[in-house]
Amino acid sequence: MSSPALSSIAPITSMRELVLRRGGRDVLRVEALDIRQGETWVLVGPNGSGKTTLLRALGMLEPPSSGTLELFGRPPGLSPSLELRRRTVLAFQQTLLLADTALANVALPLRLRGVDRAGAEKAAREALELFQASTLAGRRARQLSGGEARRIALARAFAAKPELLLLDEPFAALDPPSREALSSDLKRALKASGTTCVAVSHDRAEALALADHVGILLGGKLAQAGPIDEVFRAPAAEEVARFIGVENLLPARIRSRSADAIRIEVAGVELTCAPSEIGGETALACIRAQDVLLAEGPLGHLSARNAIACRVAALEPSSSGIRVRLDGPFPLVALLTRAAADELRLAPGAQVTALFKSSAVHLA
Amino acid sequence: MSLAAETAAQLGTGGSELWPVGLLTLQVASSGLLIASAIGIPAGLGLALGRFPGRRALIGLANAGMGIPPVLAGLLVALLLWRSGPLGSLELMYTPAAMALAQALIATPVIVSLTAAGILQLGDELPDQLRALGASRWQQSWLLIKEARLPLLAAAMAAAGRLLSEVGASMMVGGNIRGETRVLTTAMVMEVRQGNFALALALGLLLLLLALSINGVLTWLQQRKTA
Amino acid sequence: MRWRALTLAATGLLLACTRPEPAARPVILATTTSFQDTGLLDALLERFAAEGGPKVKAVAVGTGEALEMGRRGDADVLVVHAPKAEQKFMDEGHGTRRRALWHNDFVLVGPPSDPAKIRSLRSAAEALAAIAKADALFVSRGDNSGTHIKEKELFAAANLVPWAHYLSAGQGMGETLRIASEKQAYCLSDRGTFLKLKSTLALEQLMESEPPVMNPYHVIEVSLAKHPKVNAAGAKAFADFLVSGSTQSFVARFGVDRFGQPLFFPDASGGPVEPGR
Repeated sequence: MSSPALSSIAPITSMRELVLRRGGRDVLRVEALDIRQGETWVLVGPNGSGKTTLLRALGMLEPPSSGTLELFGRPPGLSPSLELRRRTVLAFQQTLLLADTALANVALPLRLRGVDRAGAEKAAREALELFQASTLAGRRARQLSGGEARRIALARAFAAKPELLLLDEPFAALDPPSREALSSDLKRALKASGTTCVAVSHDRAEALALADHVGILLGGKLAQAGPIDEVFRAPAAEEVARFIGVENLLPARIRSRSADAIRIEVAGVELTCAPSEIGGETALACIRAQDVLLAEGPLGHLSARNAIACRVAALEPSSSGIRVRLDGPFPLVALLTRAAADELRLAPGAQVTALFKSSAVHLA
Repeated sequence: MSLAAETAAQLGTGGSELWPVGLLTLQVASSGLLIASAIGIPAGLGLALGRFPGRRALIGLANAGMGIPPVLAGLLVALLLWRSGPLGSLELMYTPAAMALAQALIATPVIVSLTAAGILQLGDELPDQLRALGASRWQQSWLLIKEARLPLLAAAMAAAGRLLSEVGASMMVGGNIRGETRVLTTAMVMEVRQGNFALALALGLLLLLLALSINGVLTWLQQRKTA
Repeated sequence: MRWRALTLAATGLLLACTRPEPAARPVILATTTSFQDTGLLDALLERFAAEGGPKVKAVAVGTGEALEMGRRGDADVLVVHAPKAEQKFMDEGHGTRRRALWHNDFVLVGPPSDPAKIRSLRSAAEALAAIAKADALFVSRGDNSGTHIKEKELFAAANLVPWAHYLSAGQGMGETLRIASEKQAYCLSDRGTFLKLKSTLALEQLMESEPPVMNPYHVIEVSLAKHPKVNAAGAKAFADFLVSGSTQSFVARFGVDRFGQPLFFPDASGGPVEPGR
């Protein structure tokens, strides 16, 4: 997970065999998760995966059903002390601003903690500054647009400088430009203050933009958790890979292992992968669509590892570029930029060669 | 025409009789409202936020209680307060305090029910969001009450109107005693009985004025808050 | 701040409302609406206060309810006008002393058109029989008050039972007269209330009964022995005041200036009333 040096510090929160129940059924099981000082976690999962329930447990609004949950080194128990609760702030998915000015809303957590009006407003103005919302200070909550309200809600969550900041879908219902702007403001604010943050989201792109650590919640459990590149490069299981958007999942047979490579066979084609500790005879080869490159025409005599002759089956424009569906010995999906696709003059039926590095193939 | 002139004269010159009755009316109704709010706002908050068996039944009871007939409230308080009753030794029967108690009984269900509705209208999540921002139970309650101030003011208006206009309970536990427990409504009933229509009308106008100015003040407060 | 100010103001009102009573215990007087509606009650209370008497809280209800308040010990002194019911009250031991105060009489009033033709008749009994026979509209108090009790006595003496157009109002004398006026019905009223309201009613006194139907008022002090919480001293002070010479002569003059005749005729000789009087 984290580097050994950081691991020696006691985690901000620590979960073991944690089970959360809602409406009489288990919604989420977390075998083990430690979140440490200064980390930004995004827990990603589809709707109904128990994200909000987990966040409410971390916010000490609901006790866990079983297992251990520790916050700041101690279990919060059935009725956590006010002093313990005030070390965290949870911002709900709804902005839930009070019918008052934006400044008063942002100052509220400080006022609740006994800070005098002048001190609270000073800190509130600083928080508004962090989220580029200073000009909104005097506005009434109901005069704010959705995006403005979201900025105020985040500034409010940030204002009291909680040791653990919990955010439920912090960018929900924002259009993409506002989301990106707000995400980078939040990231900067988190890094500048060193605040530990756990956000939940159903959107992988949000996780990628904000997090340094991700947890994948699938099928009622925490399926995988760790530093973001580790999880996205090396999904621990097929379901994780599918969820995080690894589009090429190929059943493979392992032919040989060596110190610098593993050779596998997929549908009669031999491929080379980076070494891994995976055991057994069969595995799932995971290749992200953006790691698949295309070259015009057949590759001919050029010998390259992991080069497959294919035919273009379909072109699907998407927000991140052009998704190219390929027919060959096995189906593949490649994600190209619009410019690259234009340059290759791709059209359905065109002959192409698909290429990917051995390090792009991850065995699960 | 002559009735109108006589009424106007009563309002002008009958002041020494009229205005103390008006003042007592205001005192009794506001005391009743204050007692009802002291009980009703926390109870309504508890009903809105609590998760306990019988909660729905209690909310239903409060809703039904909004329609309690003032005479019934008067009778219940009288049964408690008269000398042979359980609280007879307090000697409260036929005092403004007894009237305030009966009026509190009338207003409490209104306050409980409309407070609960006002808090529930804020949604399920706001109470938890406030806790998650670091509010104690007290702070949470105070903020929710502040946030629901418009429905609460509406509740106060509804209750105040009901209290100012009720006659049955005031008559029964107050007894319409001159200079003691005579309020605008009971005085009106008595003056009509005695054929003093001009005075009764003057009392009625004063009552109307009182009701209008109270609603005016509360509406003004509402609009200041929303501005 | 605004909220705090409002709360303070409201608390002030509450305190003002429940200010402590003066040292002397107030006397609770249960009496009849006719006593209040004629204006005599307020006039006498003013005089009693001017003489330095304890505060009197007067609750105007019907005689029946006033006697019930005495039976419960919720009133200290009663001024009522239903001799038979009063006697029963005394016999049950609820009162220590009953003294005659004053009287007026009951009058039969009705619409000037007089559909039952009672103008020419001599006694109240004959007149009621004629009203019943003509099936004319008649409005009764119907509230167990002194007037209602007297009406029932008259009905029993004349062997009358309520007929189709006999209406029971269940209200005080003033409201009952007003209903009778609006419906152009006959009505039995005490003379005092009728005189007081006459100018606002479309009713006339159609006959003088011979003998008159007497309406005597008595003051009863509620028994301390039976109801330990009553203010016996205050009750005695007020009853003594009512039978005193100066009060009696005030009552004899009361209303003469406005109605040309007295509303009540003093009866107090000072001593207790003989049973059955």
